[in-house]
Amino acid sequence: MKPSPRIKRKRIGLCCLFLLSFSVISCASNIRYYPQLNEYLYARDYDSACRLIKESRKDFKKRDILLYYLDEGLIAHFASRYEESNRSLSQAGSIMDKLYTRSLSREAASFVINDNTIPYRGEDFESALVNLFMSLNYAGLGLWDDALVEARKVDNKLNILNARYEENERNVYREDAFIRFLMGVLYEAQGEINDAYISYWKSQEIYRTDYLPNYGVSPPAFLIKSLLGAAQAMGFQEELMEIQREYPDIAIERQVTKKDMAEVYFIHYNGPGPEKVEEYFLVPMPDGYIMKMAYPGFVKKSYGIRGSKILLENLSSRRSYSFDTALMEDISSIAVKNLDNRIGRIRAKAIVRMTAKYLMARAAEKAARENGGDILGLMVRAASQIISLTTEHADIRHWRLLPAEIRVGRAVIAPGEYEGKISFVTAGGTAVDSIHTPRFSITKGEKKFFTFRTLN
Amino acid sequence: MRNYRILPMILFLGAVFLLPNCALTPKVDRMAADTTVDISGRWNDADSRMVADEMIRDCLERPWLNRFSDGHGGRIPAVIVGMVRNRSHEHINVQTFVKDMERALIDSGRVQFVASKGERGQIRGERLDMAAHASDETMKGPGEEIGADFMLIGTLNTIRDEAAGKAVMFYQVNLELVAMADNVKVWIGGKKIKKLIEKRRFKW
Repeated sequence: MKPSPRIKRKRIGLCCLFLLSFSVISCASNIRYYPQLNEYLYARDYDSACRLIKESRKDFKKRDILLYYLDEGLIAHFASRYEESNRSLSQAGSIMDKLYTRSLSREAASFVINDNTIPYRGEDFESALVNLFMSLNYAGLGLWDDALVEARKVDNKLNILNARYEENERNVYREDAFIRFLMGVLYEAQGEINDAYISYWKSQEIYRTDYLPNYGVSPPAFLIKSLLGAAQAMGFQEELMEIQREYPDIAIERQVTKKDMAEVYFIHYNGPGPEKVEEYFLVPMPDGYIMKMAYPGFVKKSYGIRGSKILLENLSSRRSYSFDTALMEDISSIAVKNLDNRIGRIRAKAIVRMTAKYLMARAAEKAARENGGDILGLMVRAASQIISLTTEHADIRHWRLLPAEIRVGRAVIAPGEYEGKISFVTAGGTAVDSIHTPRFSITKGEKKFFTFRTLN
Repeated sequence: MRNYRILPMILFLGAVFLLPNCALTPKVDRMAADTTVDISGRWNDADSRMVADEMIRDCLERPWLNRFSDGHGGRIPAVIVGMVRNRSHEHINVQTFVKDMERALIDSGRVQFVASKGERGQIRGERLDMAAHASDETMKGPGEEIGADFMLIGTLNTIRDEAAGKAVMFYQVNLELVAMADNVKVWIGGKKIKKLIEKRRFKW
């Protein structure tokens, strides 16, 4: 029995409504605050940046709310509002944790619409960086135990994330050398020299065997100095000689002198982080349909500042300390590699989605042609072609406020009151910007952390 | 007749408006403090209570107490709480079981605790204030504090293993009593807790 004209119209209507609904639910949140936010960051106006983020909360769709907490937490970290930052980042961590359980309905939708229909659960490296920044927040607050808890979570998380993939699909970023170094510093602050030695050793090993070949980042000299110091303090003579053979140019710091001194760590977040962009190509089908296949890719952004120099002056003795920062975490390169490691899976899904859209468009056209004639068939073909092209978007959601790199400067200084300056320099060594460090006092055996952000 | 038709409609609309309000009010059930409720699988009050119960029982049963009393003319030992370090993967407040243990040992009448480093400053400040403002009869002078015989120190460690939505969380709490005079460890208490946490990989 042939369907009545009324039922035919209903079917075609439903078909169009279904396709139209794709366009409505396929978009990510319309977050427009980044240009303004970057201006505030350039001007180091963190209060305005924090305010802007809070005011923009309503612009985030529920499925993108993770990005809101990531941004809020990182801006608060740059502003040295460590407790506030931890609240937001902890919220982000909980969301990532909850999103481990995947919604079958949303996953199914992502196979026929696009990946933006799924709640954003963060890239693997972003997930680890949440705990890295939380660890730095606790370190900034002087809460060593809590900083270590977060540092352990980074290591644990990287293990768990990689265990989810097949051996040949695992991330290059499977261990974090910087967090191991930080753990060493924190253990040392607690007087746990054996644990500090193990962390420093592991850190230099990751730099040498992983960070250097993959990202071109070598172990900084002060890491090796700390490692030598810890080995000497523990009386590990064989290990001490082995390290000295590996790094013959680096001199050992005298532990007796170090015991009466304090340590400062200047963490310089440099450059804009990489941007996730859409890459796509159009595929002509044998029957004339043009289908689109879109997938994301990270693009590194350029920046002029390539280093920083710190000058500190002891206000009573007038003795000054000058030292440079060294690159410890190349976040841009980690991001690029991390996405590269899973791009095969993303592309395979994009092919399945493109095929599904093509088959649906063909089915809609056939139904329209059979029920309403050639003209309606052509109209539906045109409409479904437009919809399938406009709904195919790569998921380019990412943690936009991340820095390109983390640089660290460290100095062993005499206890006392200090003020100083940090100069930001180009690759040629020319200072293009500088800011005064906050005036601070430091006691014997104390460790202090300071953070700075540059974008240009 | 028309009014009778409107009435159910008003009731229905009223219910529609009221229902979300009902849902927004948090539901609170009071329960006994010793009830075990596991929600996330992370460290919770039940774990803290289990550690405290085990430590109190073990600490009071071991021979260090009698040995000390016998060697010191029946005097009960004074203990100071030192650092109990959290070396786990979670932010755990170790004060909960340390305070439970402190309270239970004081209540037993066989151990006394002296104020810890952090608490002492406040008390000494008050004593100085007394010297200036309290009457001679009620004023407490310096040099009367009891020195601790033992220090309570400890660690909380975890081992976490996780794969395919299942996690095994192993907690080990160790508390130690170290003699202040000669660094001899007179008691080591331990409590191990193991949990299997399963996460759903999919939902509808």
